[in-house]
Amino acid sequence: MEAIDTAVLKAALQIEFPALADKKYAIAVNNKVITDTKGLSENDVVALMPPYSGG
Amino acid sequence: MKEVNQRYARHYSLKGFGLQGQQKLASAKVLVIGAGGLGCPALQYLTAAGVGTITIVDHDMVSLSNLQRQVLFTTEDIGKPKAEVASRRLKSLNPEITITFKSESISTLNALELIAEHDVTIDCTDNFATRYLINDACVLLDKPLIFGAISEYEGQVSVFNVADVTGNKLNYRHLFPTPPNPLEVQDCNEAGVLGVLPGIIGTLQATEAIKVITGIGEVQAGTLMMFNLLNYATHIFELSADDSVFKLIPKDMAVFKATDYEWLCGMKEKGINELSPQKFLSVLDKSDTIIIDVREHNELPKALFQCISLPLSGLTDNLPEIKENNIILFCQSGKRSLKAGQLFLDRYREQKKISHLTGGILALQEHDYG
Repeated sequence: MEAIDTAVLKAALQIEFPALADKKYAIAVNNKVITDTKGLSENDVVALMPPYSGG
Repeated sequence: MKEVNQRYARHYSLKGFGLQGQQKLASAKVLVIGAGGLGCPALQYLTAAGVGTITIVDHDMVSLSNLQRQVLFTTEDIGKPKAEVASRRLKSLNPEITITFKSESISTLNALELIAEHDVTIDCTDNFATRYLINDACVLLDKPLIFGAISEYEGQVSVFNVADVTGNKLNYRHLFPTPPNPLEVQDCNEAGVLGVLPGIIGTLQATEAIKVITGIGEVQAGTLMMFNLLNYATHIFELSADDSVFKLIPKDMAVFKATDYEWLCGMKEKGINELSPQKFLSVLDKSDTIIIDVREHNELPKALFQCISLPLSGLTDNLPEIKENNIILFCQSGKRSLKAGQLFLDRYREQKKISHLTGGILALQEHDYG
C-alpha cells in the first residue's frame, strides 16, 4: 500500500476495511507508537493496535 | 523468613538472583486486582516465588464459564467468592507468606489507600473503567503498575510508572489517551478467549513484578509487548513520551475520588437505569413494562422470557413509538442496549423510565447457572 503519511494510510485502510472507521486503535510506525500524523517512507512497517480490556 | 529456606533453593542457586533476590521478594508487598484469568496464574507464581505480602481484590463469584481458564478454582467453588477461594488455595501453596483478600470492587474510594500500601500493583481486571481508574491512581501515587490484557488469541503486557531507559515514566494513557466507547471495542465475553492465553499473559505479569521488585533483567517500562498465541509473533512497541496526556488524569486525589470512571468509559448513561440480572428478573412481569431485545435476529442465546425484538441496526433510522411507560432493553453484553437506551432517552426524555440489563444476556446466563 502506498501512502505519504499515516493520515493518508488511515483513510485508505478505512475505504478497504470500512469497519475500521468505528474502531479505536493506536498506530505504531517501525515499532514506535505515534501520537501525531507521521510521514512514511519506503518499507516502513505500520502496526494498528486495538485496546484490549479482557482479563 | 528463615535465612535459608529449602522452598526457595532453586532461586538461591540462580545466577543473578540468589539469597538477595529472595530477600527482596520476601519484603515486597504486591496488590493483585482481579482474581480471574490473568489474576490466577499471576497469583500462583508470586505466591510460589515467596512474595512476602500479597493482597487480592475481587468482588466476583466463581462461575462455571470461568473454569476454562481460571486455574485456581474447582467445580466445587462455583458460587463462592473468588478472592476468598484464591486466598485459601494460595495459603496452602505457601503458608509462609501473608495473603489477605478483599471481596469488594476496586473503586475511587478504596483504590488510593490499597495501592499506596503496596510496592507494586498488578492490573488483572476485565474492563476499561477499572483499568483507567487503576492507571490514574498509580500515576497520582507514582507507583509501579503491571498491565496485562487479553482478547481472543492476543495479549498485551506493559509496566507503567517505572522509569524507562530515557528516564520517562509512561502510563496507559500514553498508549490510549482516552477510554474507547464500548462500541469501539469487542467485548471479551462476546469475543471469547483461548483458555491458555491468560495463563501466558498473567505469568508474564508475574515475571514483570518480580523484575521490578528484584531488579533483574529489563522491565517492560515505556513499551508495550503484544503476543499472538497463534503464531507466537511478539512485538515490542515503544511508547512516546507526551506530557499532554497528564492533563487527562485527575489533578489530585480529591478530583480522582469524585471521578466516575464507568460514566467516562460509556459503561453507563445518566438517565438510563442499570439492572442487575437479579433485578432484571424481578421486573420481567411488571405491568406497563416492555422488554426489548436489541440484538440482531438469530443471535444466541435465545431469550427464555417474553420480549419483543427490535435490532439496534434498525433503531437509529426508525425508532418505533412505545406505549408502555417502562422500557427495558437488553442485548448480548449490555453495550448495544445502552446505545439503544440513549436513542429512547433522546426521544422520551423524562416521560418514560428507561432501563437496561447490565452485562446483557450473558450476565443473566451466568447468574442463572451460577
